[in-house]
Amino acid sequence: MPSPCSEAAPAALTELQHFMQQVLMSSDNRGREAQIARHIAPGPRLPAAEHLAIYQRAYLARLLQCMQGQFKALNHALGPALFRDFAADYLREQPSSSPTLAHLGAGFADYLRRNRPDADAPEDWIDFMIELADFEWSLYTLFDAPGAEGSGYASVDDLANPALRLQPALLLRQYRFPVNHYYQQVADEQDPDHPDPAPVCVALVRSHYRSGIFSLRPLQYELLQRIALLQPGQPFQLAVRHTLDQLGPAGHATVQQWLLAWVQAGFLVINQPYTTSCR
Amino acid sequence: MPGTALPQLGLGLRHVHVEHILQHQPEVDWFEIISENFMFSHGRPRHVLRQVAERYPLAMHGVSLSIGSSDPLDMAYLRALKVLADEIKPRWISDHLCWTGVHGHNTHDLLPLPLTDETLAHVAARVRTVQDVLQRPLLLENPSTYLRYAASTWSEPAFLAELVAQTGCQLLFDVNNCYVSCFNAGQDPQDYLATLPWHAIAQLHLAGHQHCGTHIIDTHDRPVAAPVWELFRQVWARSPQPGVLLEWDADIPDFDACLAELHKARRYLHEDIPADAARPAARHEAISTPVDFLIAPVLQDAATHTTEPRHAQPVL
Repeated sequence: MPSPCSEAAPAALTELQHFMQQVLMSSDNRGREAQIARHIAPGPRLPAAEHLAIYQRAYLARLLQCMQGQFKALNHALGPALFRDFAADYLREQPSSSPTLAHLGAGFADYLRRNRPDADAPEDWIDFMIELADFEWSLYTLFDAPGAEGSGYASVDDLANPALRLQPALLLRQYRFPVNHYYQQVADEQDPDHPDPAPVCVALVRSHYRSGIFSLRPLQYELLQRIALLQPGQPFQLAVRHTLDQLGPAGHATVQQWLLAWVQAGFLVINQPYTTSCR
Repeated sequence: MPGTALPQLGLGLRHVHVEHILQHQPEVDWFEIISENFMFSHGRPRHVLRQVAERYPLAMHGVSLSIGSSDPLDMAYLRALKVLADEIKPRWISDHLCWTGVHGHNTHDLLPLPLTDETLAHVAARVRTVQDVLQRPLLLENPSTYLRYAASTWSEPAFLAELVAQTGCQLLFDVNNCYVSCFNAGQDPQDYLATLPWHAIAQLHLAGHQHCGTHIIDTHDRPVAAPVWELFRQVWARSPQPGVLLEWDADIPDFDACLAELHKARRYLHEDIPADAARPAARHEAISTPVDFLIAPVLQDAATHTTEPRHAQPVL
């Protein structure tokens, strides 16, 4: 692999691009009139500042459109005007640093958490918006994340295999609000009200290139978490044992039913390497 | 002999059309992908791309190489580009004569460069590095521009010609961008064509634009404008039979409508079609270089399921 060209960029180019990026991202030309006149030539029909303004208007509009595409349910919940206010503030604080727009909304849920407008007296609807942003982003990243399509899924014949593990494109989430139901209603082109608190556990799973949202019972969630935390070499049955103790005499048949359903839904693989950081 | 053959007509591959393409396998000479949509994909986009690549020739068109940035070249990006190219074996790999950001940021816009001797040396060095990594010529596209820098001392076609001479890169000449940039700068497109390095043109782009009266926005959201078709006719006659591609990136119609617009290219070259009436000036400015089509349609993809067996009793 050749080494990157290491020569420094020309100083004039560096200065100009620094200036241009500043005025694009701030959309504020106050105090910069002299710089604009120095760098940008007037056109045949428009003054220099108006030529620059074409880029300034498009910068934010373009990225807001992308954010609305990545957070369609949140955009519905907040309404487009309020969504754009939050998203514009987010983009000003965290401009994109990725070659792909697929990462644009990566920090949005955290941004909302840190900048909630009700910091002094937390309100439920803000919690719901933050959770919905987290849910939607989780689902968005899952769409294109590393999965098990190439290596294959576990089958019902593998249920006793100690190397059984969760597949890489599976995320476990707990929420105080039923964000999964709200999301599905928006996807179905309904107009749901903001829901009341009602804790939910979900598994977001991409299997055979299709994403699915699975509601979980608390004990199912706990078992899947235990499977996710298994270390290399630890048998799968170690994760199951605790759940069997909690369920009592009927536990074995119940867990078998769950595992069978999870295998059929593509939750499990045989000892495939995966990262736990996204769970 | 320039201009004597039928053009090889390609379309930009857009996710709204993918199912139609795989199901019906329409007659299209080639498809062009946006490289960044697939370079980092581990999911269905890359899977679908492999299927399309089995049936059609592909070209890779990038929007984030940032060949003119004063930031260092992003070598991780270049390596990912090479990996994708090795996998799908595209006819061409292209990006734009532009910069997209500095200080590690990406504006996701194709920003114009000051066309100076220093910029030329800077860009030429980076093109050589890119070509070393890719082990093939890079195609560079003339971007749509909405401003000119006071510092520029080169015309864009002369700059491109010198870049070609110094690096051996090729050109993706966007006919619509030429028309848009010339109008916005008050320049006659004929003057632009006069210094274009015709021999280096490997591909042509066509797209629709929005005329706002005082300026034109490159919107890719409507049919190609009549003056652009006229310019295309001239460009084709002087070019070494480049591939011709239609881009449609916003308000994307169904596949057959895109194909019908693409097929106009052959009619404009070989039939006597009168130019359409001039379009009225738009009241609301659309977004230049639309990018929302790059966003994956996740909302339509995910479905709610249950793994509960029928008649299951609540456990806890």
